Amino acid sequence: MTYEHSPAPGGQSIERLESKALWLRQRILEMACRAGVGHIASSFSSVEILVSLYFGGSFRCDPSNPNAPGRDRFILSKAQAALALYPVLADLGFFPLQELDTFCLNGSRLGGHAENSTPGVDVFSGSLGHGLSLGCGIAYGARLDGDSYHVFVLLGDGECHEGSVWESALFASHHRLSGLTAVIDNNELSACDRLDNYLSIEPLRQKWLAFGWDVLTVDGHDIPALLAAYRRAREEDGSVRPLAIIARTIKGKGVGFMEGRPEWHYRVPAGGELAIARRELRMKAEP
Amino acid sequence: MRAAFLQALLEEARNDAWIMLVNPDTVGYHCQTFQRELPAQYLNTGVAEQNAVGVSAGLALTGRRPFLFNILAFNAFRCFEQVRLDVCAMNLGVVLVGVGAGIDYGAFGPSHHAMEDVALMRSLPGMTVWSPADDTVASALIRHCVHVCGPAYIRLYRTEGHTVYAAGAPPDMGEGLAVLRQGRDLLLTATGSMVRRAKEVAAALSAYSVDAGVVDVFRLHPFPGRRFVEAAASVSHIATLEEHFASGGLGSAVLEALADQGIPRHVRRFGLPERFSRVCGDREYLHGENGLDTATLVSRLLEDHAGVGRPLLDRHGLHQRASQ
Repeated sequence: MTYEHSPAPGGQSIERLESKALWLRQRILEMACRAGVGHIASSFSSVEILVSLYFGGSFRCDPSNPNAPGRDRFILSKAQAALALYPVLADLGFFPLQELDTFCLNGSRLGGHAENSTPGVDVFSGSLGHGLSLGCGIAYGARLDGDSYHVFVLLGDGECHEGSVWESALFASHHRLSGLTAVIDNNELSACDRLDNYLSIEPLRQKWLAFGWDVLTVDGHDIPALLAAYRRAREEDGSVRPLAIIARTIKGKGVGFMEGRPEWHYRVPAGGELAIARRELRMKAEP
Repeated sequence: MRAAFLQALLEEARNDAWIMLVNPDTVGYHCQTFQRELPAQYLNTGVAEQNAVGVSAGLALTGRRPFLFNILAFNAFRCFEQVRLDVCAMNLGVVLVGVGAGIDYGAFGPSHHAMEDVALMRSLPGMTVWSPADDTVASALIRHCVHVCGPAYIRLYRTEGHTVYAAGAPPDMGEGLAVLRQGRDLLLTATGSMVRRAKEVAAALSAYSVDAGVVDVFRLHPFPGRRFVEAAASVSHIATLEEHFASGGLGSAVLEALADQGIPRHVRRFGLPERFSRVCGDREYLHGENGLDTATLVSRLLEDHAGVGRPLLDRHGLHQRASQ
């Protein structure tokens, strides 16, 4: 198919970023449908979080030099959202947009979970509860080196069931890793059910506060709110605490019949469902 | 062996600020000298092994060479997935080093025993598994690991060791094994604490006219198969000795090397029985309880008629002598 970059980067007005978010949802749906696999709803949940981070002006990276020492680091601990990350990286120029066509197909390097062999991906991912520890180690090393780059880690709220998340949360606050920001995609759903139905993670805000973090709660689909949160993460405001951004989101956001429905954790729409999804995402009826 | 490791690491770290000693609060009091002298290169992560491995991997991503020092059982089991994915899948230079190989922590019980750690670690792509027999090898190994990339797992003993090699004369780390004694009849192939035991067994067998050689396999993975087959070329019988389950560790590696190279040999594996050790006792006592003491090993080797080729004992007429 013919690929086009998302609406041109530049002033990055809110309208442009919103257009980019729509473009990203379209790519997510296309890639998953072509592969017949993919965590669409989890990826839709994280769209504005990623667009605001990578295109909002806060995140420093250089697609022509993916391993530049001073780059900011992004760790997709909520690894099933790789489907949302790949188009962002391709759009930035880390690898060709055409490569998105290979997602999860034979011989592709773009698997269902991101690996550090992909340009722009800093760490291996796929199992939950790993990313924040890795981020802690990188942020600790950066401070030893006197480097000022920032480490962002995106976690799922269901992922916060993992005990290792809280081991690293303790570590980060004890060591005052203010160069570390955790974004929690708080869509209240995991693979099988609503968290509140089987193992509530609430009160999430109080948990992070109790672990010694600064906490911002934002609407995770509100781009201006996310941009403000990322600016706050980078500010030299005197706080020595790491920052947790609790992004209140809707799993499956953008396609009505997926929103808030656990069964869409791993389903890929077909037939009439796909037609509805394409229409809601302002896509042509047929690919 | 613990002291030798820490001394060697301190000496290397004084000249290399990228070396870090990471300790999940388990053996910290032994690290005090390092911590006092090089505080910026020391990190106590607290009793949180999963995070300790992840943080070490993150430090490695900033160019550092972290030595994650713990009781072996806690470096291998709870955090295995972090070792597998954070360290090995990214091929990072994190060195997992610990004391408590096998039943080194005798009376502390199965929670502290590392009886199946080699089986796990040698299954990981990219992992190098080391098992030094004494302080000389342990020290040489640290100097070696500082300069070699990639993940490593080092199996030490907390008990201060017995001497196998002369101080300052370690074997070549790159070889993976060293032939300590030549023998015509039997090759005792040992690792870690069992190298000293193999030397005792070889000496005892010589009284029965069994000429046993001794090989120290200090790199269990990748197993130095070619070198091993060379060492075993002239013997019909091989016995493996390890403070680990007899399956999954050295004995399995030896069988795999022989099978892969089409070398038929009679192999007898001696290791810990596949059960949790419920009996209290120090290491020597538990070796006796588990059949790894010198007298039992000699007796079992003398009684061993099974296998291919000429039975070892009949060949030397030892069965009659032993039963008299």
